[in-house]
Amino acid sequence: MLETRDLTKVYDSTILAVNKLNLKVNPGEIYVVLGANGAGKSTTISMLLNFIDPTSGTALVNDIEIPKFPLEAKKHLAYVSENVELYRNFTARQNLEFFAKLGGRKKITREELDETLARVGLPEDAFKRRVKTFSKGMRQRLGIAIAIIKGADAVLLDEPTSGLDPKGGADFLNLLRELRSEGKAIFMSTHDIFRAKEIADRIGILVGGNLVRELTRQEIETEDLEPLYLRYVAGYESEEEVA
Amino acid sequence: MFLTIVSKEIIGNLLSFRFTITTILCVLLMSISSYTLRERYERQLNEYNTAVTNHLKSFKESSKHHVSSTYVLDKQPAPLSMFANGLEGIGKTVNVTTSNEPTFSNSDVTVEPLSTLFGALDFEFIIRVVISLLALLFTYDAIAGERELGTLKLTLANSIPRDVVILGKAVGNYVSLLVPLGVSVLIGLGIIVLSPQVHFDGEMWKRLLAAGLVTLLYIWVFTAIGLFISVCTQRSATALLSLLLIWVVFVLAVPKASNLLAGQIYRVPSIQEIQGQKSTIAQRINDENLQEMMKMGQTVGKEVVEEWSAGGKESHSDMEGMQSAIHSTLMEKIADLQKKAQEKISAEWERIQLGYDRQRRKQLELAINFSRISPASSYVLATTSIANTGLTRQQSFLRDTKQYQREFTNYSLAKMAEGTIFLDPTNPQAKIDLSDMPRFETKAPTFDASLGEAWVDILLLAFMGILFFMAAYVSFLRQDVL
Ligand SMILES: Nc1ncnc2c1ncn2[C@@H]1O[C@H](COP(=O)(O)OP(=O)(O)OP(=O)(O)O)[C@@H](O)[C@H]1O
Ligand SMILES: [Mg+2]
Repeated sequence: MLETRDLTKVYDSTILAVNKLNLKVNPGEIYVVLGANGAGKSTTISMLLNFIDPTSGTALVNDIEIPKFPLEAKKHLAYVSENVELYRNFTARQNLEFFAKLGGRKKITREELDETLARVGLPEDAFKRRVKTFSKGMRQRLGIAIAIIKGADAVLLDEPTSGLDPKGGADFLNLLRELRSEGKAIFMSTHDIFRAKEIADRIGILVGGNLVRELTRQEIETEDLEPLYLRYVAGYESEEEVA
Repeated sequence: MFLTIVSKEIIGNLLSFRFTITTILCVLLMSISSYTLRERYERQLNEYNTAVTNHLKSFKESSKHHVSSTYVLDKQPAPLSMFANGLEGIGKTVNVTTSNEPTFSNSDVTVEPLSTLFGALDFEFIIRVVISLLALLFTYDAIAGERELGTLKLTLANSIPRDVVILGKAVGNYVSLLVPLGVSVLIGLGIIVLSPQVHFDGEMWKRLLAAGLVTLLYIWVFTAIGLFISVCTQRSATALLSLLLIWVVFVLAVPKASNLLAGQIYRVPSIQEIQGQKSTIAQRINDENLQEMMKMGQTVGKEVVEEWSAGGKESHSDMEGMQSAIHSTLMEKIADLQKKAQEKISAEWERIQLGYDRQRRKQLELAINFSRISPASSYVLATTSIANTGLTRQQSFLRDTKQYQREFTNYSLAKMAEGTIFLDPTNPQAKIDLSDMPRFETKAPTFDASLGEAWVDILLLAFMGILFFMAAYVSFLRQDVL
């Protein structure tokens, strides 16, 4: 479904941001990549969306090579970014409709727009309000609605919960579960260990661009994730010790 | 997909504050401009008609007993000066005399110094200065702004080619600016055309259409520049500041500095130096002439004396005869030499003047070519050519007056020769017949000729439009989206 093969990015020929990343996200699976600031999470997602070209290696979605056929590949990818501001003079509906059209949706009914907005937990009176009057969390919800309405097979989320309140966070996790049950492959980056633990089918720990550990659902439930993660982050140099 | 982006840009602009400001500004400026320039044109047309009649009348009056040596010609106001004033206000009359080269006089500055001081608020100015700035204000955040909002990534996360995005942005913002501009231009045109004194024929409309197309090209150039800088910058504030700098350089600095630069690179002596050269040469020729005259005086004296002594006449009365013979021969030869010297001086002066004119022309051409670095200069040059208010009109008008000066001089000389100068002053009925006086005619260049003249600048504008858009396009296509 979603796969990276030795995916590597070196910025300005000196900064190794992502190093030979190999991972796979299956349909109906939520893969959470955990990492500190600067670990390479956003860089990975940027390569998956062809915002930047990988230095070496490649990534695939539905067996389509993303760097080679970006336009074809992006039909199968939806994206939620952190802190998206959206078009401030447009209403929630207008923003959603515009991006739905860009996402290749031909005919979108008003009902479907409203349904999606309600699904991400926006109050009805917000639908026709300009986005500049929205709070950060409301914009984040709208961003998620934009990803949902595209109906893509794979959803990439870069720290999507960063602006959400506890209720918003919980709603959001429920949404992800729904998407999972629809058979979508979900790839999410975060540094929120607790949410990761709650939702993830698999967790990858990214340290300095290296995928140092992958945990299955079973391991997530049995292992004490927080100290494990902190040990990895703190002791990347003495990797053998931790392992 | 393309239309989705274009319409999103347009709707986004319609909802924005800058669109409101732009609409108000356009309608206000164009209405004020067309109203005041229409008034001015009507007044100038009336003034012109009266001036022509008056100048003919006063010429006839002062030509009662002999043909007056001066005649004043008037430059007819160009109707399209309402759109692009150009050099229209400079030198509205030309004094034609039998003795001197015709020169321009009576500029607008004497009548309305303020409009010369601040420049005319014509369509050309509004578009060149204000609309170009607005074009930058519409595009500076096209890409940089979306980067800041995060919507650029959101857009490009879709299966949409980047060239569609950039082209859609260019067209969307271009159209968003053209709509309020177009509406206000129509209002302005209406104000002008409704004047009872304004009669535009097919040719005028063709010129207006051509100027309109050049305007579209000019605005596109600035749209493309704005887009290019917006692609290259991370923050829209940086883009805006950089664009302001570019605007100042293109619209204000380059056109004004080109003259100076051309003057530095291709130096032309000042008119004082030229006058100095002329008088030095005249001095030299006169000195040489004096020497020659003295030499000649000696030889003539000797010759005559020898001739006389050969004749063997030595009486007192013969002495006197000899002296007068010397005198008359001398006078004749001196007059001859003087005439030759004068001719020499004239020839030299003409040579210097021609050289000077050629140098000045070269410098002017150089300055014009320098100024063409800026699309604003090309725009002025092209629109004033099309409106027939530019440099060429001024030059061709002056050329026609020079032609007329020759005809006029020949005419008045012929009249003098006819003896009209000796009309009987005691006969009050006696009058010179002026009905056969040559008429002054100046032809405005045809539309094709004007277009031919504007062609270089039109091509330059097209070239810049393509160049900047390609720059924006290529950098956006290759750029990392961060
Ligand atoms: N445009 C860039 N040019 C140079 N280096 C960059 C660029 N973008 C990111 N980096 C570097 O690449 C590394 C990974 O950055 P990245 O943004 O992927 O981290 P992240 O895991 O998303 O961090 P955060 O949690 O702060 O979002 C960092 O060392 C960063 O300094
Ligand atoms: Mg990040």
